[in-house]
Amino acid sequence: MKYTYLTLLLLSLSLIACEDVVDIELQNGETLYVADAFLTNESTEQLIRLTTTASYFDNSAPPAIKGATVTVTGSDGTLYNFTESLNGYYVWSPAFPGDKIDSLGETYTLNITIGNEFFQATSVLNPVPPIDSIAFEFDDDPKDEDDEGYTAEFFATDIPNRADYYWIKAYKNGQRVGGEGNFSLTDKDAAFGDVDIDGRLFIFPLRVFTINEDDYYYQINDTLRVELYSINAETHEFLEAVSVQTNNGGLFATPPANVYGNIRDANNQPQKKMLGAFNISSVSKKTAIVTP
Amino acid sequence: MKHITFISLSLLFFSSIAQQNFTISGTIKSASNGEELIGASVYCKALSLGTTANVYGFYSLTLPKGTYEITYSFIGFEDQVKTINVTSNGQYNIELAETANEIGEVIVTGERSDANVKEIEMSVAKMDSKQIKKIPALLGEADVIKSIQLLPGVSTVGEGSTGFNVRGGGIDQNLVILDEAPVFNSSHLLGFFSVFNPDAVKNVTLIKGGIPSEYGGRLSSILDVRMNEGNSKEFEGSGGVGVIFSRLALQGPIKKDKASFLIAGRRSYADILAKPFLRDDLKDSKFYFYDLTAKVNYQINDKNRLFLSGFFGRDVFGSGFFFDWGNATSTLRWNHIFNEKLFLNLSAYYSNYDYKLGVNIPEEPLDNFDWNSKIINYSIKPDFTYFLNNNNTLKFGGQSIYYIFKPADASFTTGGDGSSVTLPEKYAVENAVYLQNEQKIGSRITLQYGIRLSNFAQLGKGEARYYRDTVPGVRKELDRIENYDDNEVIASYINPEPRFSINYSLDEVSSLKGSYNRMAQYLHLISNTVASTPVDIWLPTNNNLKPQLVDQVAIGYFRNLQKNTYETSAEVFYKDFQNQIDYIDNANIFFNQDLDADLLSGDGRAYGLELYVKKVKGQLNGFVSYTLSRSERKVDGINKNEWYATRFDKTHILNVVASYDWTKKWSFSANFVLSSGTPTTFPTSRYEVQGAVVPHNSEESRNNVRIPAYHRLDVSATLNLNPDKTKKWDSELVFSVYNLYARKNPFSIYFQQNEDDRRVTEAIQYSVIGTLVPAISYNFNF
Repeated sequence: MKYTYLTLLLLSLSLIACEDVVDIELQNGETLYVADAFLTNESTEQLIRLTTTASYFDNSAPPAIKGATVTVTGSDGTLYNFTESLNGYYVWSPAFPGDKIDSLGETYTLNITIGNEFFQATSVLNPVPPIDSIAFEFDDDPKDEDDEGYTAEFFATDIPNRADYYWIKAYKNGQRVGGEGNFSLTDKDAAFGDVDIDGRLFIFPLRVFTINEDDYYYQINDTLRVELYSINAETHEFLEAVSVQTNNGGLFATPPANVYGNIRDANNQPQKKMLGAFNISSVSKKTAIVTP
Repeated sequence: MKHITFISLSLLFFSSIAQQNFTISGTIKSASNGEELIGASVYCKALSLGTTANVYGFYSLTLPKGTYEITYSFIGFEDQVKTINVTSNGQYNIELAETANEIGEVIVTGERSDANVKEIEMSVAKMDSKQIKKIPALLGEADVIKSIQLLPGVSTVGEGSTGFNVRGGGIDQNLVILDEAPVFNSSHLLGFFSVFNPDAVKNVTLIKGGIPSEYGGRLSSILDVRMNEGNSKEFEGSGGVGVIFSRLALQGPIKKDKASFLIAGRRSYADILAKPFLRDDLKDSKFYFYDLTAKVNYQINDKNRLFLSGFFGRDVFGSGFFFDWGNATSTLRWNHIFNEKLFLNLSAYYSNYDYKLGVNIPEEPLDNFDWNSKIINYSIKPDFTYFLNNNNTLKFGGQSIYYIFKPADASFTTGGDGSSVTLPEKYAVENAVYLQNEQKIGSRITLQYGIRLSNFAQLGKGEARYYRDTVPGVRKELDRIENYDDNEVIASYINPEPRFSINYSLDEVSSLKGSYNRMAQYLHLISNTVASTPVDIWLPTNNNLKPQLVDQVAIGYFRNLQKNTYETSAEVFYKDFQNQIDYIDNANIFFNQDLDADLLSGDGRAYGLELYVKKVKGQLNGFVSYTLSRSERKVDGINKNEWYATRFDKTHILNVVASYDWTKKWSFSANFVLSSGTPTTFPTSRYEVQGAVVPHNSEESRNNVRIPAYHRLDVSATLNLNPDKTKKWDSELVFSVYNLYARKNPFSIYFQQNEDDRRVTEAIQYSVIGTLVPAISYNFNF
């Protein structure tokens, strides 16, 4: 949030600044395990991907970890088995229509066994508020006269009396707004910073900037789907850090730093050997079509 | 150390009793505008005795009864010889006339000609506004801080970054004072320009080592900026029109020789120029910065003089979103001459730094946000100079500062539903007393020794947060909160800070100097970005954060050549830092009540060699500086707990500044800077999470590589439009080109996913200024 202002300020300097792709030689490092384990409480296939790190400029698909045992257990002892599929994916499928991992407030544990190594992580399933509505407004003062259209805004209200963090994903005609790997996260209670404000309407920048493409308006008949995911505080921190480390340019870059998630090895050492994170989310979704 | 101080102090009280001596004293000023001549020399040839005027132009010289010819001199001014019959103590105020400015004759340096060798001070650089104006600058705007960055031992992480680094110290370790009042953020437009208006600045002194006891509160340097007093003889104006700023300064007598004023202002007009080119939604953008400097002084009588000065500067940016910041300072000073030996300067100041940011979009009346943050401080500072005798000058005094930190005062409304949030204010008091003597022993040795005793206390009303110990590098968990009442001491620290300098004169033209200083710093700038931002937070020392300390030793050889045409010096230094702040990985420093839990503390060290050659006379003049140095930190939890180079560490820095006065009409200047690239961290590996390709360094190292070297050439040509001084209206045109050969100097190299193919990762080199920047400006003086 802070850097939005600075970025705006720097726009005015962008005439003389420049960014160039350069060739750099990098050292290779030790190979580490990675788990990409973001689950939801929906009755659909749930995926966990196990891969390893690769050289930084290796643009091929990440190396898959084969032959691992992956389970998720609820605090009531319910066991969810994830079976190995292709490319490092481990899949849980609903056993019957409506089957899902869905006990609000419950702590779930991820268990991963690779050879004789054993890793664990926990996540609490938090509730998510509904998306009340989506509105489109024609912009009568467009940035560019050749590009006219509508700006979208969605409305949702934070759940009162608890500290909540959300992840907003928007899809314009099925395409993720902002592109894959860019995260629109809310600060605590969809407010600002560490401010103790609870149970309010999501603040304006979240309602608008998270669901509009920077350079393109919505046009008549475009479809917008907004999805709201509840995430744990530590997942928020993790994704925020990933976001910083993958967009760390400009005058106000922070020192490049490794990002560690919530996965620990069984000896409960600090997380160093397995990167990535485990989180289970509640989801609410709403779709709207632009009409004249 | 303490013993030596004590013995010497006792000795010197006995040494001045014997003979019948009298003291002559007074102030030395310029005859043309009444400005004090800081450092002007007073010399009695018959006795080979001399002294120099202090920063207020005051001198005191003790002579045996008799008649003497006393010579008053200052570079750029005619010598004045006065025959004085010394039969009693007497006050002799002197005005020196400026020498006619012939081409290539003399550059005014605000110094006696052999000061480089003769003065006790080392690791000190001085510049006056004439010198600063000669250096080619970005967009043709002469700049105090940019000029300072060309001196040996001074560096910066790059263009656009706020502040400067001195001998391996962070940017918060420089005490920047404008007429005694601290300026917390010395930059306009991030770091592209500094807030000091060169038309109002008299001179600038940067002290990097051997820091005298009268200064304290920061570890690495003192940047002492003094404003002009205002012409007390006649009305005068100066100013300029440039590409980015316009400037105007007016000064003149309120009552001739008694009272004068100075008022100087600048405003940028980038926004006005840019307006026709802005898109609709940016049409209403506010984007400008300005500063206003004002000063009046009143000579009440021969013994009393009052000065009141103020500075107000602000950067404003906004278009729906708004963001602005600025400093305001005001200083009241009283110079009092008790007698020919005892001089007092009493300063009281107020300083305020604040920033605001928020959102206020007219079309969205139900949603807005407004946040402001401030640091306010009040201080009183008496400084006495006691000219005990010709061999001993005592300085003593103290300072008391009261701080109010207002980290956040925010109000916000979402969907018409409003709230306000205030993070608790923090209060602190910083006190110091000092005693110092400068002593000449024989004709070869000058010593300066002293001690400063400083104390800092964070006061209530407030809370102290305590955290549990954890693995270094991991966020600490809150253990408990203790509450304190009004003015109750939350945490208190006391530090003795010994200071020592020696000048051993080898012969008339060369000397060896050495110094040791310990400094303590109680304010910390919390900034985790490469370039510091205007919204970075200053935190007081508290129960978790310990005072920063440094011990510095420096040794130097100083030599002047060809009748003081060339000044040269070679210095080496070593600094040992304690309690340096660093941050856990991915620290959250923004609006965080548990900020202390994300901070790490460690040691630092810096060492280096600085070479400097300055040609002060002749048609061709300028300087060459070279610095070979290293700046490192060692912090548990970073870089596997081993030493790592700081982000601003540069192994080699070479700066060449040259001016050539070709004819009365034309002069040319150039400067060339070359430095090693700054360190950064490159990843070894990548991995994917939720579509993001994340860089990872599996060695857990920090600053393991360097970005490519930085070099740049700037040139300027000045056309004097009134070469023969036939008109009262003096004016000149300055043509300049910054970054002449358009080098794209890297500021950083970072790693990202390709915009179009998200699976492809690439390294991006970011250059703040990727092209040459030509400019023209017009300056005038009447």
